[in-house]
Amino acid sequence: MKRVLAVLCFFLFALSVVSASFVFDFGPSDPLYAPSLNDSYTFYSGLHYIHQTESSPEGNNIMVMWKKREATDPDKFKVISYRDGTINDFLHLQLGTSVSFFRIGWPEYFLLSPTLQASFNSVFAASGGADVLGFDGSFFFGGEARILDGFVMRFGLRHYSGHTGDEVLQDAVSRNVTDSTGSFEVVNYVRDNMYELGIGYDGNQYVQVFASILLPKKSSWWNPVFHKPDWIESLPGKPTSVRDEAYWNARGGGLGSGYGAYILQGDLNLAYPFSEKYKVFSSLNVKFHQDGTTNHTLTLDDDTVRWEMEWTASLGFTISDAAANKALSIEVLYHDGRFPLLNYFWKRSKYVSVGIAIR
Amino acid sequence: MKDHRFLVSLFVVCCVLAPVFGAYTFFGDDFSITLAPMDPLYKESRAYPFTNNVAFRYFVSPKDIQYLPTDILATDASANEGNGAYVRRSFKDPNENNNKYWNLKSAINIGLLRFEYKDIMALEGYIHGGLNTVFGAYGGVDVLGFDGQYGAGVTMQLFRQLTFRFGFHHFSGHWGDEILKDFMERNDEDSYDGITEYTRNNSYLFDVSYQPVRYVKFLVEAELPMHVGWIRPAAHVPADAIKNTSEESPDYGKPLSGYIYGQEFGSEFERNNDSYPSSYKAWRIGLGVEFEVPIPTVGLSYLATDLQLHQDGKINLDTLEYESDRPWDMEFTVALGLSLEEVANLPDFTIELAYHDGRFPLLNFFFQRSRYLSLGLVVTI
Repeated sequence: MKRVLAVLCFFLFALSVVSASFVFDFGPSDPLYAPSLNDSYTFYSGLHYIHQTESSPEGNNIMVMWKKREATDPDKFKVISYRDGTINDFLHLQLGTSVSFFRIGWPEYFLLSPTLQASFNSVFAASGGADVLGFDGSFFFGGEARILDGFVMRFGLRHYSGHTGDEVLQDAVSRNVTDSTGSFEVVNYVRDNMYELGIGYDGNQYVQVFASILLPKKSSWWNPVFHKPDWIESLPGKPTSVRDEAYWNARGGGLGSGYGAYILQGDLNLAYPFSEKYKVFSSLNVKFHQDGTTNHTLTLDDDTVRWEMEWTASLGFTISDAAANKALSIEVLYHDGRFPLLNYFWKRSKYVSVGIAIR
Repeated sequence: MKDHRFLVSLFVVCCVLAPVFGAYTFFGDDFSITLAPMDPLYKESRAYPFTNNVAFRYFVSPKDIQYLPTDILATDASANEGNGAYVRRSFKDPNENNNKYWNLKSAINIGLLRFEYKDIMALEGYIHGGLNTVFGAYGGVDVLGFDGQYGAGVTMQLFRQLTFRFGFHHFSGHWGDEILKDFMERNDEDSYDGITEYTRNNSYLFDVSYQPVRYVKFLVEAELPMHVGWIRPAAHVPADAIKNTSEESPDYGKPLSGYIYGQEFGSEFERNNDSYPSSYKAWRIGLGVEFEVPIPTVGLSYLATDLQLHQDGKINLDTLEYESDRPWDMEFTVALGLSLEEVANLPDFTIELAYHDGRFPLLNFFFQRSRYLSLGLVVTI
């Protein structure tokens, strides 16, 4: 080990001598790959007020699994109400951070960084007791590269874990008491973990484009079961047909090798900087979820379902602070897609939001 | 709500001014205005577990079940000879080997708009807030809870040494969904009447720091729950606190303690805190001392100590009574850090070793004493 470190140190020293542009920085915080300005699960901090104009299904509800119902029962997984009415105004709080352990390379040709990024995402009702609907955790761990001072890419592991809010859970339990069907548990959205591959071009200060794909690891922990690809092994050597045999049979066998609950994402960012400190920007984020083809059920009776699409567009104004290497944005967003909490993946939502973000 | 109008207005003014101002200095360089300065004038206590920074820590408690959280705080109206009491109900069997945890906190503390006059005075509007969570580093890595906190206000700094901060602050504890599920499966509905949480919605925050020389800083922080607000648990509510209004319960001005008791113990449970002395306000007082030592070409090392005092420790949760001879609940934390803050364009990036003796670092576990040694990364924007 010492020999490897010594060789590495010598190598870095030699590079720094022969190339004036060579850099080796420890701990830069700004990510090389920073695509989406709109994604709830990207790694920045923000607070937005959401006004929901439309939701489906409507209501204050969560998806649960009734424990004693047979897997073949169409009501095994069901959306239930935890409170009367429909709350349409929310506070959306995102808190994320990125840490690159070091950065190495030549800025004009090639830069490489190992990076750890993590974020919390939560939504609170903006009325009543400000009950929290849920918390999401997400992280990325992997490598980022910047090529020819414009092209960027990254590859690594991406984790998603949804948690339902405790107040919502208590209300749901008190309204839906145990009966002959037994008690329920909330359906959680977990991807532990997926591979993420992203590429993009940010070498132009006015236009930036990114695209990424997320695909599951073979050995990964997974929820909900009706999204689970055939070839996932949550326990070693036990694919879905073995690990979740009852569910496998309930849906009439596998979903096919082409199904991987893949997620495709594209981002287009437009910016007009009118000084070093200020810029206006607009951004479009589009996502496609292959798990939408399951219609979020084991008992699919609709063969017309397709990949589920969602999109978010934003318009904002940014004030940069070069000293702190951070920027504050004031922005307006429009979203048509999933409700912005992982455990509400089954709920379509259209909303307008306004708020601030720190990136 | 009126209390917040000034702060909300200040924020709106910041937003409106943002596109207007392009130049920041006036009268030579004597007077300046900075939009979104980010790096705040008031630096919070480094060792306080709920300081607004980003932290990823691994911590280990002694192998002693008295320091390991395995219970949720529930309510039982029939306990204490029918006078009611808070009771512990387990979500997990005690196991001295389950003594390791992950703590993940993501929070920010930033300035929004700053006015400065020479090195004499600076005035700044700030916001801070974030989420804090703890996972068990054992078994299914269940999340024990989530805490939300936020606040905003105004900071004034004199001669770059003496800094005052005033604002409002919100604390809200939430049980983790997985332990709540385990709790419900283990405890029959008849064995308790409800569960409680730790809420301070909202408090006034008064902070002072004094840094006479570059390498020493003293801090005093005080948090006072507002007279009109929302406090949990009910036993922590001061006698004169009244409830705010909401869509669900619009009866503004109703005595708060009786209302919260009804929520926690059941609507038929009638109790209030009228017997509490007027001196009880559920104060939180924080005291900090920090020493910094620069390390050339690296950054600096620091030693930070933090003492937290909670007046709600004078409430006996077994009897729902204020007891004058009970001490304030005390917590102590000492942290040793190696920070890279001197590197240009970096936030304060720190490797920190800390020891804590006090409450378990989740708001809802305020009743759970804990000791632990932690090691982690801390990033302060």
